Amino acid sequence: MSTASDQIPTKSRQMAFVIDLRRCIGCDTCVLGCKVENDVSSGKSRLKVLDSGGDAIDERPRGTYPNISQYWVPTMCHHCADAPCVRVCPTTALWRRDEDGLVMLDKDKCVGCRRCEEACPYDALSFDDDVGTADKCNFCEHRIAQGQGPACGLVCPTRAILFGDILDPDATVNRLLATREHKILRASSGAKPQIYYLEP
Amino acid sequence: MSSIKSLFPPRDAVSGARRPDRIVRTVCSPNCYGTCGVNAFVKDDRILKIEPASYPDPGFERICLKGIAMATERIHHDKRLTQPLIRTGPRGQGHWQIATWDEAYDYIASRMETVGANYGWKANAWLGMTGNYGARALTSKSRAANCLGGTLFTNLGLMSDGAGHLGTLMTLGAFLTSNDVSSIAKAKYLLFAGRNTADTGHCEMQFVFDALEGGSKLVVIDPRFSRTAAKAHDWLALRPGSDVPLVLAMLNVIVECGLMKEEYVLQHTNAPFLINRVTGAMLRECDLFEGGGSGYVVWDRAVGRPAPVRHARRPALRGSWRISCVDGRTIEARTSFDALWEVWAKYTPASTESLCGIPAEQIRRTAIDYATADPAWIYLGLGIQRYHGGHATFRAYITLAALCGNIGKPYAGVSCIDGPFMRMYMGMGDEWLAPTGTPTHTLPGTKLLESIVQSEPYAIRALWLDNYGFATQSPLFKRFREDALPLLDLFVVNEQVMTDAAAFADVVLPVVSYYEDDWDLVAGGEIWFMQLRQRAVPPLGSSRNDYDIYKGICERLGKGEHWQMAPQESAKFMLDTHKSPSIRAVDWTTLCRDGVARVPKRRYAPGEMPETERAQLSTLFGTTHDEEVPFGDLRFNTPSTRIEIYLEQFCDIGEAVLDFVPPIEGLGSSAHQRYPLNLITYKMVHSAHSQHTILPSIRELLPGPTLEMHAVDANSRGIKEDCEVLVYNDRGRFRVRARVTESVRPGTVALPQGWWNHAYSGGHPSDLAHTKGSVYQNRVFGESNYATFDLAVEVALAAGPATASVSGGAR
Repeated sequence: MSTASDQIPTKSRQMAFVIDLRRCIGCDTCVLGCKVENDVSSGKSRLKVLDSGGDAIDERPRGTYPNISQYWVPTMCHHCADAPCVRVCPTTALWRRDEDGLVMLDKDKCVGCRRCEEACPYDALSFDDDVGTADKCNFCEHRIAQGQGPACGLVCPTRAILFGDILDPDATVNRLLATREHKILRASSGAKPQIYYLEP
Repeated sequence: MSSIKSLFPPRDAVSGARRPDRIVRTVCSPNCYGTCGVNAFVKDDRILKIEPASYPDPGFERICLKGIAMATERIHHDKRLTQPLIRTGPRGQGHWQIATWDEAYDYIASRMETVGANYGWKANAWLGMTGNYGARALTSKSRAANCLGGTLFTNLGLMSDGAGHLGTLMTLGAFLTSNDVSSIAKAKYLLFAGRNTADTGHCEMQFVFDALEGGSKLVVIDPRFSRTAAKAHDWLALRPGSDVPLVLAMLNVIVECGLMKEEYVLQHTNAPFLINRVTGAMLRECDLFEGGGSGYVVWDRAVGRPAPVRHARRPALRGSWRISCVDGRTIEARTSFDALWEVWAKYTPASTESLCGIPAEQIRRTAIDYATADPAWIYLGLGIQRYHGGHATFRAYITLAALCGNIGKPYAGVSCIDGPFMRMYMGMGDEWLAPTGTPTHTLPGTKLLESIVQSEPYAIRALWLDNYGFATQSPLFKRFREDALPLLDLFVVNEQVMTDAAAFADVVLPVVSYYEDDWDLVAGGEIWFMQLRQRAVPPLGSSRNDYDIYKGICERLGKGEHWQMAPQESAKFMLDTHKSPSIRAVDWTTLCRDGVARVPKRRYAPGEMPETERAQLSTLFGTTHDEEVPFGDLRFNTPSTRIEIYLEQFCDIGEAVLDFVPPIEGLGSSAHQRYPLNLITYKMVHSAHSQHTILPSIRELLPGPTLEMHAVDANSRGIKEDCEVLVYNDRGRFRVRARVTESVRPGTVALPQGWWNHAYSGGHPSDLAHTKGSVYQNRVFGESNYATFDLAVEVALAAGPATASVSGGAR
């Protein structure tokens, strides 16, 4: 498995999520924590938790009784180092922030063309029903700016959602990646996503 | 469905975040053991969000989605009650008049006085459950009933949590015994029986993960593949209610493999005590020795004759002997273990497979793993005791632990629920509960209907509910509505929202949520802390807390002098007058300063507890609990001061020896022949009891209840995924959508609990329930547990149009 730093353009920092699928119980606390932190509209979300069957709501274990298994996968904007949404956005509403590698969204520049929605490998964008502009996880940049972590990680009751600078070898996230099997989703997209999942 | 967005003020244009005007530390305290400390971020008297509050131990800083939804959506929910309501039409028709508190009290007081004049004051009754974990909120009704001379219904049987503790009480001499859950990573083997921590105790699950990361093995016993089972190394999908044969089969393996801790069993259990083979009674010293006392007797192999327990050098565990008594009789005696084994020996893994549905090899492996792990922690959920003979399930696991030497050992033993919450609730001071000095009448809550319909043991004619989702959570509501309600002269409900039960009341009194209340005490469900409830937002409309509601009626009825404490004063009073030394030891200054203070598990140095205190606590809780390790001193509050795996006092009802009594509606019962499926209900990760299922963001994640059934059961009935089905038995019926799944064992159907009437059509699951009494439980406790899961049903494709309103909703 290639290391995280192999995949990323040289930057001073690259913020990433490391999500421990062994610890995730699919309780959706992160979903609600994100909603109230970011005032996300009813019926929308920036974050969802899929179960191993691939659906957020209709959960069901895999296998045949009694040999069945189930795990849960929180997913939001993967803050890709080579983000397809940034490439296709015609108005630069979506852009990658140099200082920490986060993919940002300037809503006032969004024209609602939804090309990003087609390009995103992770179904991370939602669109306002009235205005039509995009919405997505911004890593709680307002909290990061104050030295706090993203709300999803703060509220996670099982401590499954971790975050940090993937380029810092001493960061907890790197220590975890060094000791646990992990993967990224849809690696073939080449987007260099920055959510690393520790194997369930 | 109201929009979540509409509940929030606009975002701050500069920072992008919504800025609170204050942050209040308080406690999330619905009917949930989490009792999480929260910081409520408040703007314009609305809660924007909550965050985990700081704790002396950061491991306890946590919240969950239910708490977030309660804080942001329930306070201003469109079903929220803000004014007293008096009905103006027939009961249950939804015709209400908004009233002032004075008008409501006039209505209530005049009817209570009439009931009192006609039937005596005890015909006015209160029944409360645990919908609000504030100590004052939970117990104000008791204070009111005591002041007014009314009747107080008990709730432990009705809440379906009583049976297991009755098994524990007789075996260990204690109601509650648990390790501190935050220490679970020290255990090497975790046997979870019906324990579904991931779905029901999200905040405790992180400690379980710590254990797994440290190499501990987790085994889950559950008829349904719970979230906890999904995280386990092994899942034992037993037939509902068959824990006893499973455990007895494990014991057979353990004994056969020589893994029983015989020295421990000889020293700390009553297994070696001699009994009369014919009567089952234990032999006493006075039976065998001139001038002997009432002590028990063993067979001393060192001398080849019976000896008092305290003198015997090498007691025998097994054997039978003819023994001469001082009165000249010769009796057939044997050890109690001999009697136990005579029954238990037949539960071999092979013969037990068909009873509990677990393959013999899996039983064998689990038994050996448990008996050889050190330390091995058994964690019980309350589901396993929600059967007619539910007391025996707890007793079985205690017996398993005892024979492996695990009781009284650090990070081993048998845990269920503990923490200071139950102690707080059960040990409130008499000065608080009965300020007049006269405790009032109590009746078993499970016999509510008998007291109203049959006037047994005396007539109840007025009922006042608080903290109780009576319509969805009790087994009684259908019969209450049909048979009892017409006989009541008064039915009052304190509620936050218009529940299915409140809809049938004469008067509904608006009660505050825990965010609107001030200065109440919340003792930790599983963690050893006391927290202070502090007001985050002002009471909505004219809603009041339970204390103030009862204060008003007591003032009307001439008992107002007992209700003059300010909130802060009553909080301090409840602490100072509490019966538990641990609760009294909570530091008031720390609690006021930090909102959280430690509840010491050990108040006294070993051996220093005053005997008077020991006696009082033993009576109250079964044990003193003044120890870090439950039963660490291996001194039990039982007649023998040992673990009583043989229960002499139940010889006459066939319960001296632990044995499998099948569920009353289980396999082989007449009910089961007509209704061949076993309906169990489970708690969901998104909801505890009935408080959360009406909240919009919860409903986005959890659209509605479905009946989980295995493909084998569905196919044989022509039922396909998402079909509407009729679930029925002799007592009731309801319709719901089917979910065909591999996650529940064939023969069992499972339903999430807590959904209101509107989630079903043509009835409610609680209509199918029963409250058939158990002889054992009645003898120990005066009532029996509501056997929620001991329920036979049949399921058929529903004819006619689908009508349930929430199934398959918002995606």
